[in-house]
Amino acid sequence: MNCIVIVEKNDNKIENSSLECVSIANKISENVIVVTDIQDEKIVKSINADTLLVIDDIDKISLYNEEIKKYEDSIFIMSDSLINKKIASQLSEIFKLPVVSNIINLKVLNSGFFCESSSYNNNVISGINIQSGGCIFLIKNNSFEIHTSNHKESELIYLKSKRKHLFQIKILEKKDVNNKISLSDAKIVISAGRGLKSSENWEMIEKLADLLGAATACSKPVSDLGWRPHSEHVGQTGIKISPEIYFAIGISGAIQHLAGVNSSKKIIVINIDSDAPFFNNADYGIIGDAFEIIPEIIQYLEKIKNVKS
Amino acid sequence: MNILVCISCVPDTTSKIVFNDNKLAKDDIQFIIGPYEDYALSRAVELKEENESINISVLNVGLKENDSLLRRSLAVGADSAFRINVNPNDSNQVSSLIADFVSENKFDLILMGKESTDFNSGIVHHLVGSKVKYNSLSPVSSLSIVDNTTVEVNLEKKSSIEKIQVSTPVILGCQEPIADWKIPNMRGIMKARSKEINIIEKEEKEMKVKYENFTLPPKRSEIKYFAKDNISDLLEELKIFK
Repeated sequence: MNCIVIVEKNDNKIENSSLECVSIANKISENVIVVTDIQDEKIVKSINADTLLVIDDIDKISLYNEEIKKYEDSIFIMSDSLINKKIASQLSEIFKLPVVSNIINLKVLNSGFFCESSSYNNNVISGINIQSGGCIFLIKNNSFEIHTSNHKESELIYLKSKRKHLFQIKILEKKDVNNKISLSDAKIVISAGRGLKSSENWEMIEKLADLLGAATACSKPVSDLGWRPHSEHVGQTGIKISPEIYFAIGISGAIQHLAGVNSSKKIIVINIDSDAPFFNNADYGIIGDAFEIIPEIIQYLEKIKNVKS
Repeated sequence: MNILVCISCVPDTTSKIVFNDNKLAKDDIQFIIGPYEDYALSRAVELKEENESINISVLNVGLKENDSLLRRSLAVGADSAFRINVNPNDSNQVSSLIADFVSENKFDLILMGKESTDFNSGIVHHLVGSKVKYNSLSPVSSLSIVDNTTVEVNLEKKSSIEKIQVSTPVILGCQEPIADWKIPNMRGIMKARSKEINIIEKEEKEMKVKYENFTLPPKRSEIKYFAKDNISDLLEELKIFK
């Protein structure tokens, strides 16, 4: 069985979520084919696969279906990202394969596959049996380990397509989201809520995030008030994340907020209100004033940084 | 302009999800129109308020129990309602059924939510788009009509937000702040009573993807509290130094 993996870039680096997918592929398949639009040869060659197919734009993968069709009897593995949802749908139609999303566990059976998917806003794990020779798996971020051992000798192929994309769109304006670290791919997320009282007080949140190499996020009321951009809003109607560590500062922990963050591996809640419901869904808690605690954490981290340097 | 809004019927976010013998215990659950689809429907109604010639159809793939939510959609302002009478199994099946319906009817705009809040796949719009060869964009946080064949949307991407003009027909996955949720008024409720819900019968096909069992994720261990004075112990335990 061949395994085709889509590898995404983030500032020309490989996304951690894509490395998870490469690791799964190497575990379950003898022949791993990576498709990516990362052009830097050194970075591409660091990916552990038998074949590396470099295309111009991953968004237009359907234009390369003839080349991909050469790998018969294939399954597809990619992270469950916005762009991959579209890619998976195109591949599903081309190869007549089913798609399953939010995958947190995957097993190859003698006939077909068994996988587990996170559903009902991370409140339920669904066990899914797939009776199909192939399938497209969308992997939930931070659900599998990354293995870097036994690097294979790979064949690198650059592909060009002369065909035009089916749909034309006119981009009138493009605003970059000013997140230094991608929220969906971050290992640590520092999130704050209305407890911070005003947008000016985010300076300490950004400083803390900077010291930890973390992404910043916020609750819905904060983005509704315009204190932070909507692109930082995590929760049921915002972005859903599953980092290693989630700091919730001055966030009460309404069920709608939890729906977007409850698959974080470790949750640390800092809140002045000891009755805040978030404490019932956290691993660590500090009851106290964020305006005293955050500067204290920053001071401690800076001290360590100085000692190290 | 003909707009189709596809709605899912999902448990209210505050409902406790319980499975008995791998079946969702529906009796204790309040079902609602998916929050994202509610945004899509609300935006369609806003557009109709600006332009009376717009016609809004609402579609659900599901069983009879969903009729009350289709009627609610009519009360909010949709013109007609359709239900494909099949038990929804997964994104692949639902998107095939919607694609058949879209192929048989002419719609300029097909609005869905960014994702349904039960299985959270967020992929049905793209699957339908691939099947009927329409463009699909998701998530979009604003939508306006430019002319009969063009709409303008804000499309959210991983690291940017793009303002885009796109030709119809197009499928959009909606999310806030595209519109404010609408609550049906008495006049709408009375009007909706006399409208028919069109039932479409389809044969249930053999599924390649079968949901076999449902379990609860492992519970978090008991919370460990740290006082302000021993924050360093917490940071040591987390091992998060850059």
